[in-house]
Amino acid sequence: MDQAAAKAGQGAPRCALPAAVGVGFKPQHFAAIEAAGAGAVAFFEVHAENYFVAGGPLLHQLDWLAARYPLSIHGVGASLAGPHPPPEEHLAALSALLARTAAASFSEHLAWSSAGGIFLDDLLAVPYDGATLRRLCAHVERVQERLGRRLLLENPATYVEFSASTWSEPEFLAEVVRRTGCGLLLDLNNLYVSCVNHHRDPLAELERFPLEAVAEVHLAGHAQDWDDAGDPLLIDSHDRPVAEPVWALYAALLDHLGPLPTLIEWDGDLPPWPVLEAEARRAADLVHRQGKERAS
Amino acid sequence: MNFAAFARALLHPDLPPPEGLTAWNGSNVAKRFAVYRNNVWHALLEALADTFPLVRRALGDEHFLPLAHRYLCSHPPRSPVLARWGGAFPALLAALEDEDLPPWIADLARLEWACLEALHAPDAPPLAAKALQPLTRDPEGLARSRWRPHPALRLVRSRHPLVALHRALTEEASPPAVAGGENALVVRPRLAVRVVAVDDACAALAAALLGGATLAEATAGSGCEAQLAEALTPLLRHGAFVALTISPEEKP
Repeated sequence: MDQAAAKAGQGAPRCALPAAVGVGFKPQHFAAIEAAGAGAVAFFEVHAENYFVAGGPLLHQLDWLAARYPLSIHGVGASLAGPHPPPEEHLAALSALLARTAAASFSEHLAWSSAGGIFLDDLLAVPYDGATLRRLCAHVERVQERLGRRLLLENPATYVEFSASTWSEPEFLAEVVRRTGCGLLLDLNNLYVSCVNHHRDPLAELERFPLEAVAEVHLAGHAQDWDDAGDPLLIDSHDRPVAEPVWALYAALLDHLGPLPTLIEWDGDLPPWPVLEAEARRAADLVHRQGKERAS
Repeated sequence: MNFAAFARALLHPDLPPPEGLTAWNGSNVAKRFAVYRNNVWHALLEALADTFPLVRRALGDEHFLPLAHRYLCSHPPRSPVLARWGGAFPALLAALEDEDLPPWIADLARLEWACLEALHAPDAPPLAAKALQPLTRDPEGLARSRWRPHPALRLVRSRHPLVALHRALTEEASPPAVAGGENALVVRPRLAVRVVAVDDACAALAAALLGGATLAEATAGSGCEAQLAEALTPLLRHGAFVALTISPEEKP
């Protein structure tokens, strides 16, 4: 661990994200944030593996953010539902990054991305069966033990289902939460995309998730395509504003649970900072209104 | 779950989707599986293009993407840290011997890889030129000195006007009319990576010092005894070194 990391590690670790709105940080927005502050944005999330580097401007920006805002470290490469546990080298790098940034939260995905020694750079689906459950739980427990903290597991956007599945997705996640004590990062865009793709009612599906374990919400935009039968096939694209039905699900979730740490993800076709900040403000207004209603 | 079969079908578009996939409406799962295949290919080709943006600009997508595709098949990423993927791409370009490609394309790729390594290298304060002033009174000690390169320092020597090409492509200007080779010194004394042209004497001196030679050995080896100060100045000005050590005089 270098000096900056050691120093950051000495500070009191922030133990949770605020019940407010954050955005996925992009280096292209750094100058705007540095110059004028983050506006309605109360925290930032970064993809962990982008910061597995020794030095340079990326870590400089991250240190700057970490000194001013709560940070969520979001892994996209641990391949938790894959055939093998994440290698020690990967966990050591995660551990160092979490310490360096005094991260408020660490999250990963119910997905796999590596097999046969090849990294495929996508969050791939798995059957919800006993074998996946045992493997995933073992990997989640390994990560939580190595990092010494609770992991938040994110529900995936999926395009296919498996004949081998014996659990529904919400029940499967509830069982993972029960067995490992991990939290849930509920991605409402993923939930909506999967429900449309598999012909389920999003609101009914939402109520089946282990909502008591939700510690963060993700919102993002999706694209629309069509499957071979001419039915809608939504693609989790993160390259546009959040869709209206996803906003409606978000309002319903806030009604259930009250204000929650909420993140706007925008990874492709990046807008200027003010557009992203306005999207965050829309979510912040909903959180704020919900907080007021609860208080009165 | 057969991960190997799933991964194979992702990487080989001519293969059918893996077995065991279903769709609620009984539609052909190939279209749905293709979403994953497109995601994988798009993400990885864009990751390689992010590392070699000027190679892509120089070649255009119609030439770059098939080459990136070949690289992905022969050298798929082994780690989720994509900043470490692409180191063998310059060698793939060098081995092509394709007359339609610019003769300098592999050197440009070497330079872009050097820039990426420099960008993510450990931070270190560069050695200031004034730190050398006391040593001017100790020429023998200076001759025995060994120089510790900055962790970001890279040197790419080329038979082509590589630095001018790099600048023109960066600025989206037309390629230079310059002929002859250039040596590209890649430095990152603080946060910004810089690519600087240095003459042959300076490049030879830098290469020798990078290799661990003493200043006397490096000077003699690069044939720049007469212009040592001129060869050394750009290296110091651009923050190429972080320290120098003088070993004790050898007892006769």
